[in-house]
Amino acid sequence: MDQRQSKIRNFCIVAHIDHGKSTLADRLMELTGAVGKRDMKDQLLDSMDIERERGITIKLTPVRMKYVHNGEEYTLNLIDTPGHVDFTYEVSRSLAACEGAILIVDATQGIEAQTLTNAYLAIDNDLEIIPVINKIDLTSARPDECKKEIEEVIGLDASEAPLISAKEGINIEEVLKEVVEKLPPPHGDENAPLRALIFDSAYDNYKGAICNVRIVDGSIRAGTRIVMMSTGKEFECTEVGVFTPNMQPVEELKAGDVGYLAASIKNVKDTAVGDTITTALNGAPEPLKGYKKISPMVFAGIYPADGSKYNDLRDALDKLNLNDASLIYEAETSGALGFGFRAGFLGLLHMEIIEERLEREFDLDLVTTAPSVSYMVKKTNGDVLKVDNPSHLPNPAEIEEISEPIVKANIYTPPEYVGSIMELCQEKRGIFVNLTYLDTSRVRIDYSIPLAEIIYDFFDSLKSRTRGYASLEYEMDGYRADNLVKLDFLLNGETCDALSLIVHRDKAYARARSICERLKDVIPRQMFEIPVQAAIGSKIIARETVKALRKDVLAKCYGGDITRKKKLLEKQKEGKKRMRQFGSVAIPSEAFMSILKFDDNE
Amino acid sequence: MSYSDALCEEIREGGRRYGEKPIDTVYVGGGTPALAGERALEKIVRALDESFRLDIEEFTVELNPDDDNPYGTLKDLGANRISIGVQSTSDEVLRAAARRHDASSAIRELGKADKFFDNVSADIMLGLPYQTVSSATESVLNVIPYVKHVSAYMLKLSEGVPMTAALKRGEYTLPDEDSVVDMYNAVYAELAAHGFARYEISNFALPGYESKHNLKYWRREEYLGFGAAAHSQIGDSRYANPASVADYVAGKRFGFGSAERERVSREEEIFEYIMLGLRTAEGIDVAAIGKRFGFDFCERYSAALARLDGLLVRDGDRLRIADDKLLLESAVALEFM
Repeated sequence: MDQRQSKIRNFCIVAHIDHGKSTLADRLMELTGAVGKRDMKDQLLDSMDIERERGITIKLTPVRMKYVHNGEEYTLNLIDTPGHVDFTYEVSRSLAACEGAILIVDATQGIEAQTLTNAYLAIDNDLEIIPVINKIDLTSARPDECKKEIEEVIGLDASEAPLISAKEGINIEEVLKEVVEKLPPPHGDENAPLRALIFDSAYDNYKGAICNVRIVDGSIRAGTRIVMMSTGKEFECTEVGVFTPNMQPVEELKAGDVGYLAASIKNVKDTAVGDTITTALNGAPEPLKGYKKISPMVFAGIYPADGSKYNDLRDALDKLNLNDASLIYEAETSGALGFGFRAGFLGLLHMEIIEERLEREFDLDLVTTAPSVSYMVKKTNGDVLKVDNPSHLPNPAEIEEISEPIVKANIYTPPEYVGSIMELCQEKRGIFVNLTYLDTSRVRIDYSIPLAEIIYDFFDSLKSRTRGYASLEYEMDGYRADNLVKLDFLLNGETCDALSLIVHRDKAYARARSICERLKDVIPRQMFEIPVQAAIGSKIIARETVKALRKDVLAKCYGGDITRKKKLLEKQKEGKKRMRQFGSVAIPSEAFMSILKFDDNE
Repeated sequence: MSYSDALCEEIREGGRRYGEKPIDTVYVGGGTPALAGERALEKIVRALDESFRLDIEEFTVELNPDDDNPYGTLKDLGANRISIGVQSTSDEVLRAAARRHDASSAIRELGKADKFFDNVSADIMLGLPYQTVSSATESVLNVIPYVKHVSAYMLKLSEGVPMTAALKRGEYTLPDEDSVVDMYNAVYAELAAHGFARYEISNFALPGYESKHNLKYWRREEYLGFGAAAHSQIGDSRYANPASVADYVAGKRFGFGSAERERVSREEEIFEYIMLGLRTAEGIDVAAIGKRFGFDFCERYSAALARLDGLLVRDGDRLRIADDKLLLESAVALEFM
């Protein structure tokens, strides 16, 4: 093996939430001098607010550190991983860029649900794992029990696991030593044709789309013509560099290195995560394994709360799209909501993140419709349509058959939850495929489930029924026809297109009733009575009534009060402006999301 | 300087500026004129008399049900109408509303006022803690024998009031909106049965006993206010005095002449005519408003009028909110904003 690569370690840190992943990362950077104490804070502040508030990582930030061990200088590349099922694919790609992982376990809490999920994910990606026990400074710490748990539950040797406190900076050096001593170095072929794995990409205003890459084989420097193996698109590499953690250009990246590559790429869509980069001349014959084209699974209408802000919303989406290739959108019009966009997302979390970023970073007020999947509709005349907006479904008489996207779901769980998981899958119209005991403590359950059922509240229900211990992976598995119908909602006798949804006929009545009830609660009483009805075709299947407002009166209105009263009325008017006027009915924005929420008894 | 001296000074200054305007109604608010003392009251009335061309038709004094109310003195000074803040004649409700009086003292004071004055009014609150439809109706029945006028207000709590704090601490709950509307309708029916007509959302009177003073507010006429927190409206301007008595005495008075006036734009003025007028049973005179501001009312507001179809009643030149929809006054006014 070559001398250079033997001095490189590529690794990630995995942990249960709050077990100290970011703190340890910060300490490692501090100790290796990658980041000065003073800059530390700035760096933390740079990451998105949403990430810190939700305790999840969305954008990956790799960092290169230098560490001297036994008189030899080592290069340590720490690669962060996103932490949610929507981003499973991205996680697998960043793990694929590493040889090893540090597994942090909280000395008081021991092994928790995500400790297991993440540990198994690392094991499945053939990573060498170093267990580390954190928070030993707390009086409640019980490191010996923790070690035993790690050995018994995960089956890792924890006898030499460093006992650390990332917060207090205790024993951090030992972690670095373990990384150097226990994790295998990369072993790519420097002289082979270039193969670089893209594990993330981001947009830079000056350099264009930047690929975060792990060089598996070969080498690359500025000036090289490169080609994206999935699309065949060619670019000229303009800069290669490493993260210190700021981008720092270097002359060359070679097998085993982690760094970035810029090539005046205009669109992040050309830098697909998981794709392999090779050279245009004498390139590699085969790409690296595991590339998947990611396509949106969840669709929703996004509208500006204030109709006149349509152009602002378009500009904001264009800007977000520069950095997020997985977001797609096209203009659409709704009778109830006016001009807006139908957008596609990787999953519900991705959708929430995009919404939040639009609202925070671009200061927009949005109205979002309930998410939907993309249906295949076979018409009686033989045409096949793709429908991702329920209100675009053709007339029932013209429909021969509706098929919905199905996913192959793999659920990993401790054996005691098998019963309740199967019950959940059954409720969600799942078809049982397989059940495998991976070992005494882990079972894999495979189901074929409609994606529409997964995107609503499947993940949350799964977590709550298994106290967080089960994990879910899924991939698209074609379409399946089912008895699906469109459920419309009528307000004051008029169908409100933005509320329509497609459901299974057996569930239609219960859904219709609960949504009508919810609409009744969120729509404020107005000057007249408003019937809220649910219908399949022309048949009304549920009805509620928003009773007429009986009283809307300002207290005494005498002399001095006039100015103040007028201000109160102005406030009232502002509130009304934030609602959508649908015919004579004013609808608050929440109403459009209310069809998402489920009752526990459903 | 005492508060009453400051007040007299302000009245005289008002007289110097606006003394030529005829004054036919006076309203003394607050509820505790006895605190000022008879001499102070006398001074104030004299200041008014000397500063303005008084041609008094209605002179109201607001009183709490206290046993030291100086009815005789007030009558001697020219007051001819008394308004008493009864609120309720249920002791449980009064206690929860943190009132200092009880039901029996309220009735007693009404009786005393009735002996001195022909025109007595009682304030009743609706929507107080523990209040029910029957206790609200009972309160009205209890005051009717003594009064020619009843104001029935629905409680609106604002921040910073002790009751709001107690409510937040969960010490009691308020009746819900439907119950308050039921109370209002029951009280309205009871008053109507006794010959009281509703001439404004919260005001009911026997024929000829409508408050002339308050009608001026709803007709958007001019008024001058003296004292801390008093407001004035003259021409296209509104003025306010500081709410603090100390500031007022220290010299921050003459609000009606201050630079900090609020200039009311033409658009606002039009809206105020509508907003205030629609509170009353007589409604607004669309011909008069159109003539005054130079537009055709029905044309200018055609969209609002269409949206409000069924809520408004047209009667010659007058437009008012339908009898059974008057409690939607804010929502209706909003359509004209």
